[in-house]
Amino acid sequence: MEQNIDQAKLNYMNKRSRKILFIVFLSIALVMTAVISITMGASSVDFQTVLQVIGDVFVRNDAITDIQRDIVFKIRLPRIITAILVGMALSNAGLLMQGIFQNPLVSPYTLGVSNGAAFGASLAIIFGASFSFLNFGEFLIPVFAFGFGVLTMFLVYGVAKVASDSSSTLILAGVAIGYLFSALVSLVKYLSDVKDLPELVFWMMGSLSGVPTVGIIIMLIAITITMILMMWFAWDLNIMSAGEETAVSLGVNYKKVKMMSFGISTLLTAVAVSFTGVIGFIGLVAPHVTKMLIGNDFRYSVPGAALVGALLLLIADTIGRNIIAPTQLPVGIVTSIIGVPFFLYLIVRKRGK
Amino acid sequence: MELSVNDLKFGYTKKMLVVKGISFSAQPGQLITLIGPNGSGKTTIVKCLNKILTPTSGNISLDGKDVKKMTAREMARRIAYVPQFTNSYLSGSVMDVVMMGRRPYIKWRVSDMDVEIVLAVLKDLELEELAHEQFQELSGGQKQKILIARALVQKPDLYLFDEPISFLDIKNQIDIMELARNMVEKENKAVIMVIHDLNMAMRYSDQIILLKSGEVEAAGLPKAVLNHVHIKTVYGVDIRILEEKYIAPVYASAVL
Repeated sequence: MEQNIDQAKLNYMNKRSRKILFIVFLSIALVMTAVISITMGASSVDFQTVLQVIGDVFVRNDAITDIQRDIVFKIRLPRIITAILVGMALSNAGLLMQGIFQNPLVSPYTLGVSNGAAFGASLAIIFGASFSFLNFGEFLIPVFAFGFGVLTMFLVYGVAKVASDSSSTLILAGVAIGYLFSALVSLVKYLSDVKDLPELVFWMMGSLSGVPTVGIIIMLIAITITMILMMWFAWDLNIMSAGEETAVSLGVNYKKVKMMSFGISTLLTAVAVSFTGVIGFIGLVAPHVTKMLIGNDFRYSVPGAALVGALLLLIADTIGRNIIAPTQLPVGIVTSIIGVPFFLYLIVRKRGK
Repeated sequence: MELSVNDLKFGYTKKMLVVKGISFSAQPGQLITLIGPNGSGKTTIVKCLNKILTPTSGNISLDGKDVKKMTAREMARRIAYVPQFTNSYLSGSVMDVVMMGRRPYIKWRVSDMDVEIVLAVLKDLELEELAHEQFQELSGGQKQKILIARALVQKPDLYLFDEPISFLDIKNQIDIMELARNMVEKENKAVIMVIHDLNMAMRYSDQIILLKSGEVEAAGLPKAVLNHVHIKTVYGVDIRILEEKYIAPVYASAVL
């Protein structure tokens, strides 16, 4: 019997080691994908040239042209970093929401944050000139998108609080208010000048290009802080996935952690959406893929989901940039076209097992 | 450990009280069952004891200390709650589920001691074979036992059970009741259990509290509480009490 316990303990420890190994594997895969991605694009800049361009920062290399420098540092690298950060943000926001609501269909967009952000962006795009007194310059769209995204969350939470404070009320309020903002976006489109429409349509498809350095830094800060918080509260989040009664009886301050989770999820979603537009699929599916690979324990699934989200979005964007180059497909279209069959395959494989 | 409940009242609105002034106490080595018809306030009382619900008024104290002043973690080290398995949205392996019970002691990292405690409890309940199975793939009886294992690793003084045997077959019902009895007799813990089966309540309880519409209709030793008069008053059903020596373990059957 003693031997059985030792064996069971060993099995438990081995499972833990396997999860850590998986996270290491995902990290290596992400770095390798980033390296491959940087060499791919409409202009050919091979791996050796990339190394030379990076080396040029430290030791001047006259063989490197300004165009090559710009392709690596001003176009591809920021875009790759954006893909990684947005993938991380949306995936972790989805992981958190699915855990708190105990609902696998919930995504970062379920509570209407993306619709609110889209309305904010549409106001900024269509009526931008009217807001010139705010002096936001190139940040007008992100600021409006972020502001309306966060406002939506407060609206949804306020309505749910007045109604019953239950999870299902919150989801219903989110869906309803999301529809309202969606209708308002349509209204703005209807009232807008035809020449402004393409920009709005393009924004709503999501794009990882042209995010300013400040935007990347803001995303990096938001992801770092929220990941630390999610890791710190990992045990509480694990237990909250089992429902409020279990969580309270096991010593979790349910209301506090729930509020914090909404805050984190909204922040991650609003920050990502405000700089890149609405990129679907990642926030719904990356958490599922992570849970299939390394289980539900937030201590491992938080870094795991961040890496899976980053990897999926980076792969999708790299394909989108190259498949019909020089034309670039919006990343949101690629994530769905490639990701859905992959996700269905995983579901079928899991059932088969 | 002594749990003391004084004039406990609870209502979802101020005008409509579900629990209307309940008082009782529980000591170590006691199994107390709360019985009564649906809607009589049994589960609500248990949820108030565990701070899942906040009482409208009244006082609940543990060793003289008001539970309102206890932190969530402190409460979880003293009181464990065993929900009905049908209310569990748990996923993950049996080890993962039972390990949750160590949450009041774990800061972040699961120590070797935590793993050993979990495995020892699973072994005691003869469930060690299931350690790496998925919780959702178990039978109802197994799930209920796993939830009890989770409560056991909390190492509390008081266990609260909410209808643990309602959906189980007779073998699993007896297993669960024997487990609760063991906690009381061998480990000198206190158990408060919400239950519908009057026969099981009669057989396994030290004290029974019979509730009707949020009030105590009768409380005390099983034989004193479960009689024709009380059952007729509370449930509106005529019963016949049978002696154990004739039909064991069935004591009371309804006269239809």
